Formats: sequence, C-alpha cells, structure tokens
Amino acid sequence: MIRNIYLIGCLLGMGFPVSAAAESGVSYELSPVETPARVNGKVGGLSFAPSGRLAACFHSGDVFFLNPETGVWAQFAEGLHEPLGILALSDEEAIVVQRPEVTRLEDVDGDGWADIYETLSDDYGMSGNYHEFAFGPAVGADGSLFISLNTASNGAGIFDELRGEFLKMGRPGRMYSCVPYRGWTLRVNADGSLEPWASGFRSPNGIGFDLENRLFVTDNQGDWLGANHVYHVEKGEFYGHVASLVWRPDVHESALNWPLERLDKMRRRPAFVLPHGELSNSPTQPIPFPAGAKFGPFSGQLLIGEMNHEKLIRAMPEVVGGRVQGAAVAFHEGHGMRKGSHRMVWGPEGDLWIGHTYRDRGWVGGQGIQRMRWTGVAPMEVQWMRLTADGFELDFTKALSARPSSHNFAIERFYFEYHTAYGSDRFGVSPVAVETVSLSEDRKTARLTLDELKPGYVYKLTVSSDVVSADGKVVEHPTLYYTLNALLDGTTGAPQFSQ
Amino acid sequence: MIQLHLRKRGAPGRPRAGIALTLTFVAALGVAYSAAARSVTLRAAPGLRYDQLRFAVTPGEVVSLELENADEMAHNVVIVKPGKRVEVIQAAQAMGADGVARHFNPNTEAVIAATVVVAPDETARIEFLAPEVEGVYPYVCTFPGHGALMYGAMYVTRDPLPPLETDPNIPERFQARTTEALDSNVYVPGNRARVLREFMPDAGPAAIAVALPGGVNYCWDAGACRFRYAWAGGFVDIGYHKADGPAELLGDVFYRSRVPFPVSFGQDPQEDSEVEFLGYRLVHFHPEFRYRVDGVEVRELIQSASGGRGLEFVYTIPEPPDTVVYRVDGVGEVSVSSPTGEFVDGALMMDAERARQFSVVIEQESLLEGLE
Repeated sequence: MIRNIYLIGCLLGMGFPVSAAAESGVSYELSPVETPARVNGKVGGLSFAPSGRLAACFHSGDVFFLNPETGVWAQFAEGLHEPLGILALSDEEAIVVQRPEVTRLEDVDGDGWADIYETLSDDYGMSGNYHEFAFGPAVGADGSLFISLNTASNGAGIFDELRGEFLKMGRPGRMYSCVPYRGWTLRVNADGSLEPWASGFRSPNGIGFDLENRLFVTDNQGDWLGANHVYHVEKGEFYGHVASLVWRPDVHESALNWPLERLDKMRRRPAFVLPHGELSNSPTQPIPFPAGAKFGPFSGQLLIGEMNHEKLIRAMPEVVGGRVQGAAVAFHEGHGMRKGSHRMVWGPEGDLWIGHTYRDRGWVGGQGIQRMRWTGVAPMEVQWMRLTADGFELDFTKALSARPSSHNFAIERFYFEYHTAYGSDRFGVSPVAVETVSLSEDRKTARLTLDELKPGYVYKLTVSSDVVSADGKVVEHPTLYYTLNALLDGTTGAPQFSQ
Repeated sequence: MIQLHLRKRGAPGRPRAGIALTLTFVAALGVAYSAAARSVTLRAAPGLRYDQLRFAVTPGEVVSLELENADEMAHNVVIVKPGKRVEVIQAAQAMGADGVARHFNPNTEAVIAATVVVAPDETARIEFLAPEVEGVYPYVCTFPGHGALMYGAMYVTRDPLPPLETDPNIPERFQARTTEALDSNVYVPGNRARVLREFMPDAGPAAIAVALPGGVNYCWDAGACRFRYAWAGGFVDIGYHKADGPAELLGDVFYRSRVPFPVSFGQDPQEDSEVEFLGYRLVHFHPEFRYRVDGVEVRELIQSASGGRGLEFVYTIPEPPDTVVYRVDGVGEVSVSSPTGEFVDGALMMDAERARQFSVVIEQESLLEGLE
C-alpha cells in the first residue's frame, strides 16, 4: 500500500560509516539527516515511536514520520499552529503541543494521515501575541505530561478577542501575562485538566525530566533574568519572572512593583546560570544522558540545546543543601554543529538526533536535523565538577600526566543582578585564588581548595592547557561555570543589591 | 449592508439528501481477456485514492485493468483523454439520478474506457486498447464527489517516467512542494480541503482556516467553538515575515456570522452558552469539528456548496435534548436555507429526532441572481 510517500534522496548519510574515528581520536561525529522536501526544515519536535520511526513536527504545522531504514519521510498531519513538541506513541498516534492546545493525533483508517485531532487540553489563555508559544510535552515517570507557556512580548500587542480570562493588571511589563498561566509550567492531568505547577518563567523553551524524574526547565535571559537559567522545577514554586505571579491564587495582583528583596526571597534560584553571550544566548531543551556510558562518561548529567551557538551545553547536577545546583560547560563546540539546536532525542542506536530551528524576526538559529554518534573514544573533559567544603573537586575523564599546580586554574566569581530590567551586567567580579591542588591516586580527580567560597555567586573556572592527560590531550572545553547557590553545609546567601 | 434572506429549501422533515447507495454490482466476470495483455491492478483505498498514483503502458497495446475495491465506499475507474478529467467528472455529476444505473460513465468522446461501479470488497476487470498517441491519460473515479481527489495518470509512452515527487499529473496532495514554495507564506487552495491553524483576522487567537476545493474558504474559531466567516478567492498569506500578526485573506469575505452562539437548547435558550472544544476529525480532509455546548456534544462539518460559492453546514448531535434551536444572524448578501426545516425569525426549531442530524446552506446571493 502506498502511503503519502515523499522520496527523499537521503539514503546516503543515514548510516554512519565505520570511520577512522578511533584512530583520529574524535569522540563524537555529526552527520546530516535530510528533512522532507516539501517543508522548511525548522524543527519543532522530535520523538521516536516504539517501532524505531522518528516523528518530527515543524514550525510550518506539518508532522512527518521518518523510516530511518529507508530514509523515506511520510506525512502524517498538517495545518497545526506552530507545534513545538511531539511525543510519538506509535506509528499511528502522537501527541503534539501546538500554540492553542495539547492535541492527540491518530490515524484510524490506516492511510498514513492522522484523521483524529483530539484536543487533550486547551485550558489556558491566548492573547494573540506572537510570543505566546507553548512547549512540551515532557513525560514524567508516572506518564503525566508537562507543558510550559511563554509570556507575551511588548514587541507586539494583543488581539481584540482573547481566549481565556483577561487580567488588565497582567498587561504591563516587558514580557507580560495578561491571560491565564502565561509564564507557568503546567501538568496535563489524565482527564485533560491542566494543573498549574510552577510560576516565574519568561520564555521556557525547554522542558524535560532527568533520569531521577526531576523536572528541568530552561529560560532565556531578559527582564528578570540576568542570564540564561536552567531550573529544577518543583510544584508550587516561583522561579523569578514576575509577570506570571498575577495568576497565583495567593498573589493575584501585579507584583511588578514589589520590593526586590521580597521577590528575591520568594524565588527559587536557577540550578544552573548560563552566562549570556559566553556559555549561552538562548537555551532550549534539556535531555539527560542515557544511563550507562552510552554517549560518553556523562551519565547523570544533562545536555541542553542552544540557539545562537554551534554547540550544546552539558550540565552536571548535584544536590547541595537539599537543592540541585552545579556546573555547566560547552559540549562539542564547533566540529560542524549547526546553530539553533532546538530539540533532541536519543535514537534506537544510542545516537543523539538534534533538530534545529530559527525564527523570522531575525532570531538566530539553524535548520534541519543532525545525528550525533559517540565513537567510543572518551573526550578529554572535566567529567564532574563538585563542590567541597573548601573548594571544588574535578573529575577528569582521563588520568592526568601530572599533578597540576594552583596556577593551572583560573577562577573568577561574579553574580548577575535580579531586577526588572533586561539582562544584567556582572557584579562582584573578583578573582579567587586557588590555594592548594591535590591529585587522587588514579590521577583522575583533582581537589582544589579556594581562598573563599561565597554563596550567591557563579564561579567560573578555566583549566589551563598545561593540564594534559597521560595521553597528551588538553581539556576540550576548559571553561566551567558553577552556580554556587548554597555551600556544602547548606548556607545560602545573596550578594547585596547594588540598587 | 445587511441583507439576509432566509429561505426554505426542500420539504420540512425530508431526510438529508445523502449518498447512501448500496451497490452490489457483479463485476464483469464474463469478459474474456487476452493472455498477452498488459496487466494493471488498481486498488481503491481509504482516503479517496488509488494505491497507484500512475502507471505506464505502450501505445496500442492491449491493457487488462483490474479494479479491486479495498475501501468502504463504491468506486469506479474511468480512463479519459489528456486534459479531460475535470470535464468528465462534471459530465458524470450531471447524470443525476441516471448516474447510478450507468455507473457514472458519461460515455462522452473524452472517455476511453471505464469500469462499472464496484462495491466494497468487489472487483471488476476491463480490457481496452491503449491509445496510439503518446501522452498522459488521467484515470479517475467519477462517483460523485470523488473525482477531485481520486485520480492518477496513465502514461502512454515508451520513455521513462518523470520523477514521481515532481510529477504534476498525480494528485496535488502527493506531490512534493517546489523549493520556491517552501519559503512562500502564501497558501494556495488545492484540489482538496486544507486545514491551517493560524492567527486570523476578526477571530479569537485559536483560529482555524480551512480552504475547500473550488476556492471557498472559511474561518472557524476553536476558542468560541463557532464558524466566523467565509471568503471566496485565494486562501491566506501568513505573515510571520512581517509582524507575526494575523494572516491576510487572499479573497473577499462574503459572509460573516455575528450570532453569539448558533446552537442552543430548550425553548428559551440562555444567552451565554458554555462551550468546550474537543478537536476535529478529518472526513476526506474536511475537518468535522467537535465541541460541547452546555454539556451536549455537537459535530459540525462544513463543505463546499453551490459549486464553490456557498457552504453547507452539516450538524450532528448524537444525543440531542428535546428542543434544539439553530439561529442564523450574519452580514453578507447570502441566502440561508435548510432541507431540515423552515427558518422562522432567523431560527430553526427542531425536535430531538430532527436535531440528530441537520444541515444549513449559505449561498452567495449574487451567484443565485446570476443563475436565475
């Protein structure tokens, strides 16, 4: 039976050649995957069905399935309103998150096209503002779905007719929330009802669970966000962008003019601060490394997409004082990685499929799909950066050639201010002296003691190229950013506000 | 200017004129065919299509063509002269009541060969001589309503065929878009219905634009759960490249609904109905919207009527209350009618039995005048 088949000449490049990677020492290899000829390859979502077929949705509103064996794409649905996430349940069924709703698509007559477009949930507001994207779904361990909703932008107005309740007091602000649950993450219950989960988000274009069933949401630098953030999201908490508070039952007023101290006390801090322009400009989806060393020695960590840079970001969560925090570092920068890495999914063969996007209005990015495979060669990296009582412990992926000296590490700390204005300069910038360095017996773990450790700062650590592995390799991504919300004993604190 | 004519069409209570034929033709079993013939099998498949988008024969050869009907509807195959597909479809449609008996084969000069109408799970075979003149000879199902989508191309040639994905002779929905079209924001109406959820002018933000075959388009609002307006001409230009505002209509609005909500229950309907959007189901690419009005499920399917100059709204209420009222109020030079009953003061009052399925037709007045 012929389905709606578009023959794409992409049989080449689908399988990875048995390369000389091991010899050349390359750890990761990228190869392109052709996208369907009849759509612009701006990827909104990727998901593998149990059969091994890849479902992809595109900004254009089209949904396709790829048979990776043949490289043939078959169209499944069309006409959706900017879908930015997909979850394939089978070759005949998928859930998409499009601007107006969470929708279940199903092909019931077996012709390859979805016939059923069932609205699972649309219990949130739309003002017609272009910036009100809907993201997700992230799937929790219990099977429940989570979505996140973008606030509106004062770069454009709203429609005369809205969907949902309009709150005038939610209208002011650079990014605003005048209809329900803009700037929230929400849980989609089995009966289709939406459960407001957490507030305080600006542009949460990245939502996902890690292997420990912790929910992570990324957010973009802007008003109330001095840098780009990755949050560990827990129910009922507020994450800092003030517009959404208008929909919190215990607030229900504009908090725009509340004292900063009050808001700062109320907010949950980001688990990872990604300094703007340096590590990230616009983070996207978080995805956990698989269990076991299937994609390098980074199990227990997260990969995060990045719109403006030719790289991904690797984040190393640890629990300190009962909360998640840790270090973040660039991953596979350069090497042909396209900009606009937007959605990621693990393929059946353990490789990472990366969908890229950009948007008009001059938003930076890329397009198409790339496939990334680990060659089995461990890269020379700082595998983990962990907080100790008096400094940091660095696990390297390879044994070092010799014990580094304190001069081999440059540490600087600073913070971004929490305020209503767009972005933030760096404040409290100061070098921090490394007092001692010791190396473990297996030469893989270095312990650094520091002159001072202050909560509320980001610690930027750069490993010098004098630090080499026993086989002569320098650290590929030597600059790490540790978000020190709490000391090991649980002490938290915030730098004094300069305002 | 508001000029709304309410007019009765058809006798009240007459069931909707649907195509519900049970065709059990015995296929042409007795036809002998040559063993040396070129054998071609076409299977009619769900979704108004043949399993083969095209096939090739050489000039003058004997072709033995079998039609297997694997669909739930009746179909035929009519092979026509180059460029005559639409003409033959129209001729078959014009056969009216006579069509069934004559298998919707208009038997005009444009027809080269035709099977009988084949019921589901039945098979028919015909044998004919391929034309001597090389060319692309369309094959099409002339069963009313099918031909716009259900067709393919018989190539009479000795040469290799052009690439399938850019073949203009196969149905549009199976063609790849050209590279230029990828960056275009203009959506062109095709020969099938097309749904596009997009920001639309004069509607709530959860709008759905639908292009119907024949150049009539409408906007349906998934927030308010109701039809908003219809326009004729081109479909839409989506303006992401401009200001992320609503799409631009590439035609003229001929009717705009302005009733708060058309469907209500009871003699004394309440002003503010509570509505809930449930989604839609595609029926031949046409969305049948599903929603609840004050807890009662309603389904709404909108089709092209009056040769593309009007709309037919088909409502299904699986479990209707005792009294269902359908109100029409809008702006446009149109006539509104229903085969289900008579509008009184803009309202169609129905008991539960009639409300189970009813339809309303909105036609552009100017066209009617042109016909009279």
